[in-house]
Amino acid sequence: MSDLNSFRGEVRGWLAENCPPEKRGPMREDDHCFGGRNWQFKNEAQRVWLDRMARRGWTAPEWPTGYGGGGLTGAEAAILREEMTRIEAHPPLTSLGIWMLGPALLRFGAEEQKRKYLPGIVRGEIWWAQGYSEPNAGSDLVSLQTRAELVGDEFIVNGQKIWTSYGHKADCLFGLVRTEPDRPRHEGLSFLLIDLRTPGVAASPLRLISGSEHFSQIFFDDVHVPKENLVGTRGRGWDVAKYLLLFERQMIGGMKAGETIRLSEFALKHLGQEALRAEPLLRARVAEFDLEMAAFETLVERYGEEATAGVALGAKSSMLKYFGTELNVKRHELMLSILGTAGLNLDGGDAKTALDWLGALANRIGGGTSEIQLNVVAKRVLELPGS
Amino acid sequence: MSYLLDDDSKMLRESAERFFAGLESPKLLRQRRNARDLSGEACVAWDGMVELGFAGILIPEEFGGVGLSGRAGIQISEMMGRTLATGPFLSSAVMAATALSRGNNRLLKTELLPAIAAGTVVALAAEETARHHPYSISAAARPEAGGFRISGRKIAVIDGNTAEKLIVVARIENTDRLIMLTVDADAVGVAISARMGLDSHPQVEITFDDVRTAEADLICDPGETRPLLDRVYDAGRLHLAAEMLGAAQEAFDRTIEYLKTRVQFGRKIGEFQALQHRAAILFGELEIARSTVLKASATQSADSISLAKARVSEIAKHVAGEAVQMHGGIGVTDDFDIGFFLKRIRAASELLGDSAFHAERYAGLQGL
Ligand SMILES: Cc1cc2nc3c(=O)[nH]c(=O)nc-3n(C[C@H](O)[C@H](O)[C@H](O)COP(=O)(O)OP(=O)(O)OC[C@H]3O[C@@H](n4cnc5c(N)ncnc54)[C@H](O)[C@@H]3O)c2cc1C
Repeated sequence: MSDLNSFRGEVRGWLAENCPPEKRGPMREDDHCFGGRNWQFKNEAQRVWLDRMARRGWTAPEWPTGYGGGGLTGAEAAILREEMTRIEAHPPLTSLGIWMLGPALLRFGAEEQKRKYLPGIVRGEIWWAQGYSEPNAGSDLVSLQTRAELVGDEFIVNGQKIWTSYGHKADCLFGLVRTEPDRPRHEGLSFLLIDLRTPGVAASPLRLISGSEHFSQIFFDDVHVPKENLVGTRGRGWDVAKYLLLFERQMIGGMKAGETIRLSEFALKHLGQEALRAEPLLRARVAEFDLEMAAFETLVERYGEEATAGVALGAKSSMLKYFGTELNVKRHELMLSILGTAGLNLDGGDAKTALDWLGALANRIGGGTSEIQLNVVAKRVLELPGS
Repeated sequence: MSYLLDDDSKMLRESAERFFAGLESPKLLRQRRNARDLSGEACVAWDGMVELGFAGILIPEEFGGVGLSGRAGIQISEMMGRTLATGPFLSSAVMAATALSRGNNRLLKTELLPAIAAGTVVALAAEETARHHPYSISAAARPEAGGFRISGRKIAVIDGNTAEKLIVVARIENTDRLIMLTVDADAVGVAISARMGLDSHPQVEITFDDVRTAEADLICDPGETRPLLDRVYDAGRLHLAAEMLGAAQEAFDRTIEYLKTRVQFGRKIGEFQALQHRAAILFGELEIARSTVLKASATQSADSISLAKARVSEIAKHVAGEAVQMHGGIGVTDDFDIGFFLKRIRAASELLGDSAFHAERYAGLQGL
């Protein structure tokens, strides 16, 4: 215990000294650092912050130090998170490499792959995107058709991915391809790493209803991928993807898009107490929402603590994704109600709320739709019968 | 604070689980209701609970109790909810014990706390309005030499029909000052009447007609009455939330079992996605409800307790309604137990402030 206390003291001191003031406070869009080959740092503070954190391995606190990670225990990593939250430090890196590819490699990758990729992920040198979905394979992911045929030492990839977040900006893609077309659906998929600079790859952005160029479509036309880029066993890619989806759901559910202040605070700020009390029904909705949100946050905290204590969350992470994203939509709808017509002006300072609302709608779909999350809970947690 | 159960909680949970599981409480509740038995005796497993130390769980050791933190004690209420067990735990072991141990009348503590731990029932007679308004007290305390004369009417007195002592809240005549003091249930001028309640618990009303009390019966200084009343109520609210959580969890578990066995259209009804999705949402809500109760029990703060009472009330009502619906005809059959869970949850959600009351209180604490 006293070890943890002294660790906390050390972390606190280090953060106080090393986290630039510009990298503290509420996160704005521009504060995200995705890293990668062509990354232009938004400012010097962003570069310094990433560099300092990466040197300690604290961009990936729990990964082994041998691969560039921080080598922290679950309890120490939790302390680091708490201390960062305490000073509202921004994450130094927003990275699917850290959230998803890293855990996949640690669990399923060959030693050589770990050495090759993990340290670069820690330092944010490669921007990784996730290529699962296809035009005809969304919720029903296992029906995906992008082919990878082994010819000599290379896979030849043909097909199309869609809704790939930042696929048009990323350096590399990890994802699923069909390597065994004759096998049953689940058994014909493999987890493959594809450099998006390879000839035959064409990625173009797709605009979200919020206007943001968030995701993309990617075409593969005879793309040659070295066979060492296969992660895990050929034909067992579905196991890797399923493992990763748990991380994704947990992450999306736990994150707060847009404004992070309580809705009541937002309402008081924009309307004031008197105006709000003059509209008891609106005030009641705000109050009810605050309660629902605060209650949900206790679940996020509890699951977080349990995970740190080594209790596997498993399919329950679908609950976080479901409630987290549903509440976020509700929150933004109420924020728009509070703003009234002031929230409709796309050029004003309040425009962000409408755009965040549209973004919240997308979060209910990405990472598995709300309906799919409920299917997962019904089947895997409650073990209800049928498919 | 931590959401993980500490050792005390785990131990208590196990012993409560074992004890209450053997009681067949729904059957006893049904019998008591059918016989219109308001004695409160028929299904009270109180002796057994006293023996296990449950009656003194919150009472400091120096006063003959077990002296556990407020955190572990909720395990008992949760298990009572799970099994629909009854007994003056909430009234006496939680609320009266909190009032006395948090008050500053040392003589009263020495007299009553060991008695409560040994099974004497002490009940709180404070509420006067059907909706919960903690400070809206019109019961009058007329000062006289050495004490007060109490007159007024109290309703929804939990376990008021079996209590030996009452803790009464009254207003000093022509002032705003509230006092909290003990009165013997059989004192001259005290009239107790009970009716059968929706949840097969008695609904007790008590009138006080010029009842003589002494200054030595005051549980706290008059200036401390409001904060003490808040603490006492908060303790009760937390335990009600835990009880509803247990009842809702049990109703839910039984429903999931039913979805896996009942066949219609040639399939288990649990195969229907319309029911699967509703079940999944209920599961998540129950997980949230549990987290709010754990947080409230660990922090004991007013806002976390109101959060728990408000959310668990709504969630438990939702779960109970769905549990009835997903059972079809048998769900609304009196011989079947689900209805008893529904009714207890409904009653517990109304006691000591419903979700609207606690949403308002929570909002107030946030400055809304
Ligand atoms: C913002 C955003 C970012 C994304 N990023 C990525 C990414 O980086 N990489 C990637 O690979 N993909 C990404 N996606 C794609 C995402 O995973 C899919 O959009 C999602 O899985 C749904 O698939 P679909 O769009 O084909 O919809 P469909 O699967 O066609 O769904 C249509 C509707 O039918 C419902 N439905 C489908 N099946 C069932 C069922 N069995 N039971 C009940 N209802 C059902 C769905 O819930 C939905 O309401 C992203 C999507 C969004 C919105």
